[in-house]
Amino acid sequence: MLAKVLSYGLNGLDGFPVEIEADISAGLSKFDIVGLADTAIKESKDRVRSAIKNSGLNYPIDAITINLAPADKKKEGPIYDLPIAVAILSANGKINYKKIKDIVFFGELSLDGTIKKVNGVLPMLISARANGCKKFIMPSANSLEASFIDGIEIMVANTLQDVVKHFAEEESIPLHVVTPSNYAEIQKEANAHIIDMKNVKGQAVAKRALEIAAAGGHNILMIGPPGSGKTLLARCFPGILPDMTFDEALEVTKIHSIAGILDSNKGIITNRPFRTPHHTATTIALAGGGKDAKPGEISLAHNGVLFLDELPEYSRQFIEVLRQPLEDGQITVARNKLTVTYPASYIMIASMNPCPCGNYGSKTQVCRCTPQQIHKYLSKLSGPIMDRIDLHVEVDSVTYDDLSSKKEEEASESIKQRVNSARQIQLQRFKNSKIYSNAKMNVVQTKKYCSLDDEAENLVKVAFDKLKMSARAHDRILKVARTIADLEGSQTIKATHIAEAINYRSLDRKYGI
Amino acid sequence: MINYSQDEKALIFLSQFEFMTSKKMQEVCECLEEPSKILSSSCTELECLKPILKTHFNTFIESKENFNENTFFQMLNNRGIKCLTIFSKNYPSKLHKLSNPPYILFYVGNLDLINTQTVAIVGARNPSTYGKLVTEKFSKSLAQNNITIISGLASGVDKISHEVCLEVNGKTIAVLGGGFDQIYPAMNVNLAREVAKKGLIITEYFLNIQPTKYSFPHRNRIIAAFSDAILITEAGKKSGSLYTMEYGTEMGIDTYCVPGSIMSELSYATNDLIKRGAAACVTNPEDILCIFGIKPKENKNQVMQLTIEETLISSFLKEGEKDFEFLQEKTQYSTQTLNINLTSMEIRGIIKKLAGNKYILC
Repeated sequence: MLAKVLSYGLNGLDGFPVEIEADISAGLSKFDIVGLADTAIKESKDRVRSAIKNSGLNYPIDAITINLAPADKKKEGPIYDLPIAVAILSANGKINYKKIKDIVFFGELSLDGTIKKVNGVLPMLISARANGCKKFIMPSANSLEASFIDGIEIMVANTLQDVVKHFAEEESIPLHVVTPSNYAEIQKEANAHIIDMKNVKGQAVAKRALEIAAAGGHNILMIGPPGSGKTLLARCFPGILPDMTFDEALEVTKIHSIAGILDSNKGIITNRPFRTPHHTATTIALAGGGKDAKPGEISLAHNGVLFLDELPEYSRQFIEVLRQPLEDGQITVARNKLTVTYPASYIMIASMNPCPCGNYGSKTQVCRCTPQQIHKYLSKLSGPIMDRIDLHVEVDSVTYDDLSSKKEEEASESIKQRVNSARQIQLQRFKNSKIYSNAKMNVVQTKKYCSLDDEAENLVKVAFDKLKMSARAHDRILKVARTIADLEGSQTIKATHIAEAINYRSLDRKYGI
Repeated sequence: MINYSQDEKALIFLSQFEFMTSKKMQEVCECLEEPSKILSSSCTELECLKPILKTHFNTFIESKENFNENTFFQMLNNRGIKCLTIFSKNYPSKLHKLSNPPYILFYVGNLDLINTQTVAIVGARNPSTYGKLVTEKFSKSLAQNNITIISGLASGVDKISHEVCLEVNGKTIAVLGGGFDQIYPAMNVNLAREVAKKGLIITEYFLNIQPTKYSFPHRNRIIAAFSDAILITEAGKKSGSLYTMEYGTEMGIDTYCVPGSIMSELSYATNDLIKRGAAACVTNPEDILCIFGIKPKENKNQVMQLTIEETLISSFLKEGEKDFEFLQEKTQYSTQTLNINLTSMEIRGIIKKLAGNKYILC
């Protein structure tokens, strides 16, 4: 007997249909799986056998052959346990072949027949929906994640037995159908978990710089002594970024789903991701790779924030990896049998100490570094990466008075409103081009959109002369000034905007004196 | 190509050896009566140098046999390096005041600067903000009034005084403690090039000789000899500037010190010298200009138009360096307004931004 069951596989972020064919023929008892299956799938024969047996069903003792079509595409993971079991039961006559014809199955089986959670459900559902599939059966544990896809019927099951009973000829017990979730509500709830800016005392300059970074999508470097609150400020940053749209959230969730780090209690990621790869992380961990070309940290930070604490500690190789995605907003991971492109568009926040001991310029501590040491420390920041950081801001250590002050600090919500309106102006400006924020402007666009009046032009000239700015600072200043003007709702870039932008280029000047 | 006399050539040859201190060089010259013999005589004739050179004698003889005069001097010439020896006609007369004048000097740049009015600005290698500002102020003002600034191209005060001087197109002389290929600290290589191009860079050490702990205080005697006055802007207890001052005192050159806070370790030496009366106290560049009989040039750009905000900000900065948050609290301006005003004042050179978001009046 022959049976066919539909399932899906993943190639990067895109799903492709997989047809699972089971053939049972008389002969010596055997169980073969063909069709470029990885080890997890090959091992499924043992899980499937035990699950069927322990569900109180008959396991055929004949020769079983499973084919995963298309046979030339690599398939991986234990998601095919359930479809394989269903195919065998169908070939065995236990489940009516006609009833399962249009249903897509995913699920890992436990030896006792329980259906367990699988990774990558969301991207597969999205692809399957686009291909016209309407009905799905999947693990209950994935139901929340699946509830955000509308227009399809998703049934969830806890055990293999439930599935068999559902298709029983007489006394069919219906499976639980997933009810769609409301994205806006969940997002509102999730936002409450981000640390609010109002909890950060003082640091007015840094907060303003972060506001500008959020408004224009600029990368930012914070320089300050240890304990000055750089990390806390960075953690608050997602709270002042515009809320993710549903499409953005889906894209982020897809990536996290593939990486297998999606929290099944959440289902969809509504907060902008905040990733902090450690400086000892390998380039593969950062860029993505491994034998299944999994997404790396920079893709996990897509639509969110990549936070690099202690930037000079990161190896040159590590930094080089960041370069291409910062330009293109995506990264291509090429492996032996597959090449995958993951999106990787993020705002980079980096932090560093001002010198090896960390106290250079501190109010409270004395710096013991020689000028050479400071010079050497700063020279670890390679030119190419500094070229991609628009804002440098110094964060000073906080005194006890600051901490205990009763002064009301501005809440993230009101900063976010200003950021949102500045983003709207940018969306309008770039509606006919591929970019959506000031930070991504190329040379031509910078020239077009950042025209200066005479006073501003003059100011830039004098500033370069007096403050000994490097040439690379020029375009950065213009872009940042454009964002400052947008925050103010000003059409033209005025001298005051330039003046403020210049203030955020500490490292371009002769540092200190 | 410069034509060196045989005596000069011999000394230049000798200077290649690290062991050839000026004292040894003197002994060799005295032993041979005519230094030119070093290159002209045979190895056996030079046996008499054995007691002076001791273990180094064999190295010396070996090098002498392999010495190719033409390529050697061609190399120096190609690199634009000129030499002066104690036998040269244009050997700076100022150096004869020293008890142990250098036998040989290598230089790049304009040698005439030595005979102009010169002030040596020396001090701590790791100066405080105060020391940096003082050095800047003095070096700038003196250079603008046509005084040549001499220093040692080390980090800290030396570096700042050269840099500021070059910024205002002043004249500057750098005296090194090692050879031209061994600029120390290495981060000053570009500064050394600038000085060579626009001023004078000079050393008694051959190209590849590394500076040592002792060569720095040693070169200070040349700094002292070249200068008409010595200015110490900031110096701690064991500062090398004290050597410069000692050499200066031996030659009758006056030392001037800028006083500092009595709480600051970095101002210990300067305050101490003033206290003991070993150095005169100066509190502004005009004090030094007076000694040279120069009337300071009127700076026409001085009149600055300040807005109301800027006037308020500068009134708070009069008490010394203040950070952004202090200014914000006092002025109650928004972050943006304060930022704009501070940058605009910085660009016009009214204030200076220091590390850690601190500002100070210039």
